[in-house]
Amino acid sequence: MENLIYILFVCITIPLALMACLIDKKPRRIVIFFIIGICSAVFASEVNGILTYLIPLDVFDFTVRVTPITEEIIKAIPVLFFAKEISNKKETLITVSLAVGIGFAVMENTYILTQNIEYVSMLWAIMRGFGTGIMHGMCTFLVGTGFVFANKNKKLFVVGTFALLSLAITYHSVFNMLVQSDLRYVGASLPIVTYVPFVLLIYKNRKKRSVSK
Amino acid sequence: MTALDKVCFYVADIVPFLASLGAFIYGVKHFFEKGKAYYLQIVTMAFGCYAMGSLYYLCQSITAEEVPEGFTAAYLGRIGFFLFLFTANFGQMDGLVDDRTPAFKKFRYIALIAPIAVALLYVPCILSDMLISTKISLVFMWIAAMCSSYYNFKHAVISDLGYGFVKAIRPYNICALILTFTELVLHILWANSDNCGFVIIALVSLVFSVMSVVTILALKRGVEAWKI
Repeated sequence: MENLIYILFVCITIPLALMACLIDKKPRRIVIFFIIGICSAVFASEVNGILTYLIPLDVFDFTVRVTPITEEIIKAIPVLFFAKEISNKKETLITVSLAVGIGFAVMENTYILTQNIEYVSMLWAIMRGFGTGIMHGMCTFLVGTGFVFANKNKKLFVVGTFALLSLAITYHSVFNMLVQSDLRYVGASLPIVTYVPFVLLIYKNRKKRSVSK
Repeated sequence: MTALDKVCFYVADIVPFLASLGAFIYGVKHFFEKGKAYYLQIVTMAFGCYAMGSLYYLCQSITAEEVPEGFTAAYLGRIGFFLFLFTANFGQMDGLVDDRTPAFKKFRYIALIAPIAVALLYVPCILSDMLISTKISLVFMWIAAMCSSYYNFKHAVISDLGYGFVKAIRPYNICALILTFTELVLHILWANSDNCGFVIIALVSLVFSVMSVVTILALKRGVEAWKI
């Protein structure tokens, strides 16, 4: 079926967009950036489609060397725009960056599911959910959190943002490489290994804050 | 490849990864508390970036039958490493140690020695039989290294304004400079691995690993001295 990605896009975004009109400001922001994440996934798929014609690499090399760069840049754009133009508050930026990352992952997973409908299983779903889902969220979270610091000083802005993107792209590439190799279970667990310390750190900070109050 | 070469090959991949990861974790533990300077956090992120790039090389060695030439994401890990080091000094520290007066002019010129030396190190890469895409990828890394080395060297030689920053951070800057040159030499050696052999690469990797740990320890020590 042609244009399946756009059909999925319409199916998912219309109810979300309609719901966003009815809810309060804070959850609305999450929903809007979730939708932006979905839009980013569609845009990234188009860009990657063009690049496959321009860069002659096999699927493995392409997904390890090229797609992490395009996807991380595309995901970072709305987060950077939000941080620069709307709000640079740490809590808000973390929420926004996670929403973009998870929105992107949801769209990507849904599209890949429809493309491999004969081969998918519960194990596949668990690996995609815990692996790709969290990986996209973590990469954008990393850029968003780092940007809070990079945006504080003009001198830090350009170089700091590039360095953050480099970190996210390398992380993404390592993940893509591992999940396509014999070490796919190690690859799928990589995002969880990085996710858990962050969760513990955030809970620790929240606990500290509640005690000090 | 002989058994010794294989061992050296994996040592050159694993040890720098573990050392930079150790430096990153140490930095997160000590420098990411509330109220700590961004400078320290940015340097810690540099080691995180390096560890990620090294993890890429390690995974590539384990999973791929042949190591592909040309651009890889690991280069971005290295570029990120140098850019974080550069950002820390340029964005956070330089305004404190150099007040832009003519008195510091000579240090600004002397510091140019480091980027020139870094640029000269690129010559063996040009002469090697690497793919042109690899050489171009390395140019970006070299430029980032030139930027970071300039400020590391400048902050290592500049005289103190009287606040004690420079004196306290000097050992860190010297270590970071050595680290930069070691990393670049490693790239030259990898490019000529057929001639120089993996034993030398493993030894230089070990030097780099030791320097990673020493650098982060020097930074912590410097910060403690700075507070006093």
